Amino acid sequence: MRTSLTAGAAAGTLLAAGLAAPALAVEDDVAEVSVLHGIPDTPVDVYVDGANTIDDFQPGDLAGPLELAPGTYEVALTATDAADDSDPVLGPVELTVEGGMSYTAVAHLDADGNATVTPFGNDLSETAAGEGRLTIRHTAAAPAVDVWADGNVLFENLANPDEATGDVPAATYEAAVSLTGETDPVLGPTDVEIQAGVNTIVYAWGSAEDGNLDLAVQTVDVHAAAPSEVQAGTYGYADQGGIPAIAVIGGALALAGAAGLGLRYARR
Amino acid sequence: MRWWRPVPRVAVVTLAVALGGCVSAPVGEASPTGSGRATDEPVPAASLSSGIDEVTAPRVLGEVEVRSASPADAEVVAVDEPTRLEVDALSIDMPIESVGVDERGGMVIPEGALTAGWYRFGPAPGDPAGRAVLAAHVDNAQGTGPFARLRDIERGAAVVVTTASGERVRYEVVEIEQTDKDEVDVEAVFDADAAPALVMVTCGGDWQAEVGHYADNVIVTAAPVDVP
Repeated sequence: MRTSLTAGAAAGTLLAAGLAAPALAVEDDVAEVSVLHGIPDTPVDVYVDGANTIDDFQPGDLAGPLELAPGTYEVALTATDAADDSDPVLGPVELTVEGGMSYTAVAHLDADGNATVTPFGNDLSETAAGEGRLTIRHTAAAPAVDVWADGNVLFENLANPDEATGDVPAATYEAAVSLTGETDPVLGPTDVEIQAGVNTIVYAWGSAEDGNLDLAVQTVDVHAAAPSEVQAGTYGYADQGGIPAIAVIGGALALAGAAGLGLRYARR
Repeated sequence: MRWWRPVPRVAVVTLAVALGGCVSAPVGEASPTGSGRATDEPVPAASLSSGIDEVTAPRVLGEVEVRSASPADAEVVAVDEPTRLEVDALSIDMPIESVGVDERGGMVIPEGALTAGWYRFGPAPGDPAGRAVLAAHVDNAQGTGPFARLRDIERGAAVVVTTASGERVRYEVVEIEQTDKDEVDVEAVFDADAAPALVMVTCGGDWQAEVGHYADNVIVTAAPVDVP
């Protein structure tokens, strides 16, 4: 339920705290499921409960989000010319999803280069005002890595299929990935924009051995808290309360000052 | 800002019926159901990359949006920042600068009282949804500023915001509030999902010398005016 301020209640009451509940990032009765294809050189069809749901799905592409009823689904990946999912190249796997949650199922290589599917839950919790969330997922056939942001190690020693996440001030960061303990990037540096109230998820995928490591990016709307306050006066000139004598003098000066400022401003 | 199309609700209902009685399991669980788990053997890539694409089964989930996840293809969010605020009825014509949050988590207010701040982590004037918030100090060291006159505004007053691209976004005042700061619902004032509106905020009420703040927020809400 969102409460509009303009819905016509008496002045001074309709802004009372607690009227407006934060908007839900995902409604309670559905699960949002995205699918990322992170297996190089292997287009597939994605079957969900026996139905071809994502046809001719290309490596490096992101599908969805599908809005699914909470429950358990059987997911299988087949060759793009398969007639059905009876002969999958990957799966079937069961994915269980809960309402009000966001997931990304990633078809990718494990650390040894074998194809697998990893379901990740995407953190939808509200960020602080002015902050966004950065999530890094290691889904590449590669050793453990360090993740760099603006020249500093942000997440250390991340291994396939682990993830790391943290909230940072909304800004554009120069991100890079190096092997753990090293400084030369194996991926990046690349600019990643972190928006307030958005979970930006960066995937490392591909294979180090085959020389096709790459990055993929997904964004999930969460919600950022509003600023805690608006303190927009610091001198007392606009006081509407009882006026002590000293303030009357101040007020007269204020009027004179305001007039002068108005003139100066108008000349700009 | 969503880049996907919602799946038609009817498709979800169909699935829900088909899957009635499913049990729930811990978040993020995946378990193999087939006889052999594919992770045990590499995908034979060569045999998969050829062949003719055919639609082989009905798409019960409706259309699924697919896009490249490459950082190079990421949607660049271009924001047309507001630069000027005009309220003719109050002789207000002031510049706008983009502001964020201070170390206390409050909205940053530009120095002095002659510049309004736009909360850049929220909607912008002209956005299709959400409340764009402008705030200015009610006073400065010299006296009251333009926003001190906000509490005298009347419903129907015209408000124009000019953006960096030169667009003039027109509004009409629909509501004037003065509320104790302790009772202001900031989540509602800054609501990014509400109907599009411009919200102008400053301080008012009793000056509380002991804490250096005013007791109230003056909050003026203006609704977009469609220009034919």
